[in-house]
Amino acid sequence: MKTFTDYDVLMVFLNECEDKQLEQQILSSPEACERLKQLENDMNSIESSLDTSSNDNENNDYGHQLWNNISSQLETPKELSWLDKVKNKMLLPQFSFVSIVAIFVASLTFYTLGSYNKPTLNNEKSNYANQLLTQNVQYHLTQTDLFLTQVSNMPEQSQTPMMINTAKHLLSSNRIYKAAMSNTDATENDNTKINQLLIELDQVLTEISNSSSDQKQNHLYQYTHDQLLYKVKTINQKLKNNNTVI
Amino acid sequence: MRELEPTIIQKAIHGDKMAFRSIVIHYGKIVNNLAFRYTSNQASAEDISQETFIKAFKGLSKYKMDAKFSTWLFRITTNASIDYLRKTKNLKSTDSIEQTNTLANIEQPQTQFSEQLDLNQQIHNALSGLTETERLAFTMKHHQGFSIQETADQLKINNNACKQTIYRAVQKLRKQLTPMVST
Repeated sequence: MKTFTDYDVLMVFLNECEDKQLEQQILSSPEACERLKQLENDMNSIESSLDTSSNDNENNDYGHQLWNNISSQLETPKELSWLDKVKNKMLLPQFSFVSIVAIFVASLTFYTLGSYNKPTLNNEKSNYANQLLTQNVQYHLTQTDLFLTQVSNMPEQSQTPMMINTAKHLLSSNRIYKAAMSNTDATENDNTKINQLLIELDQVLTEISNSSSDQKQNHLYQYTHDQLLYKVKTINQKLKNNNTVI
Repeated sequence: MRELEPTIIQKAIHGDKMAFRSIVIHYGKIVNNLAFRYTSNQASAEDISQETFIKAFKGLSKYKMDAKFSTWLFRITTNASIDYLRKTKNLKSTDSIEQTNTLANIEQPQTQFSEQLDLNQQIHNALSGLTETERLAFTMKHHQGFSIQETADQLKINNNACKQTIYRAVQKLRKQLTPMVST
């Protein structure tokens, strides 16, 4: 039976045996394994005795004493470059690269979901609603245009109850559209103009609908109706041109 | 061993002296113990500990937080110990076991008979019985987990010499400590 030296056994124990065949022979030999076990026990004993020795020397205030000895010799190290600061920051658990990637992926996911689902849907809905409203306002202005033209061409004393009813009907529609238009984007120039026109129309239609058939048209109507009719025609025409749905 | 909070180390890297004070208080004793293993001399261990922390403070900007701070600090301790022993080697003309043992006996005159030695004294003698290279190689390999190649490189010796050195150290320690700790 081959005998192994203590040196060989130690090298196997330290996992530094270069001869793999020899290592295999040692590991397969019961006698050598017994020596390895004994060596391991001895090394553990040595280690624990050295540890005990270190702990016995332990002084809880040692760190403080050491600090007192060296603190006066410490000079502030030079400032880190921003790249090193970022690198070190990234290596902290809370700022690790993995965390940043996770945050980035989560942000990207939310952004993608946000831009492809909700906002798009809302934008489309909003666009359709605006188009529909503009179309209806344009119909309303066409009717109002016809009505005001008719009123302006009639003799003063010839307003009929039917016209007053039409004015009331137009007035109620006008108020609905006025309320609807007030919720639209006021930053758009056209919307502002339409809003203003609907407000002016409201006053005129209110006067007509409240006037009796034998009553004279009042001062406000007399003064504004020509300008108003012009505005109605202009905006109506513009809406017709812009409204591709129509 | 419990590691210190990374935020404290981060602050120290940015020049916060109070954070570095926490590092010294936390790791001071462990560094000293390691230095004592390398030198087998408490006064030398004190000097090396101071040198280690001064070097660590100066080199904090080189520390990368992907490694354990203690590992980085122990590397500095190892290098500081090797440097220290190289410097003091000029004062001691030889590195023989006989002389080291003689020095140990002079420092501790009350421990003349081995049967009267307590555990600490025997360990001290056992460590002192190793040459500086043996102590360094054994501690680096067995306690610090360096490879033979790394140990040999640090000690500027070849691999086989390093293995032989560790072998001699283990044989001496087994001879001196194993019967004592097993009783």
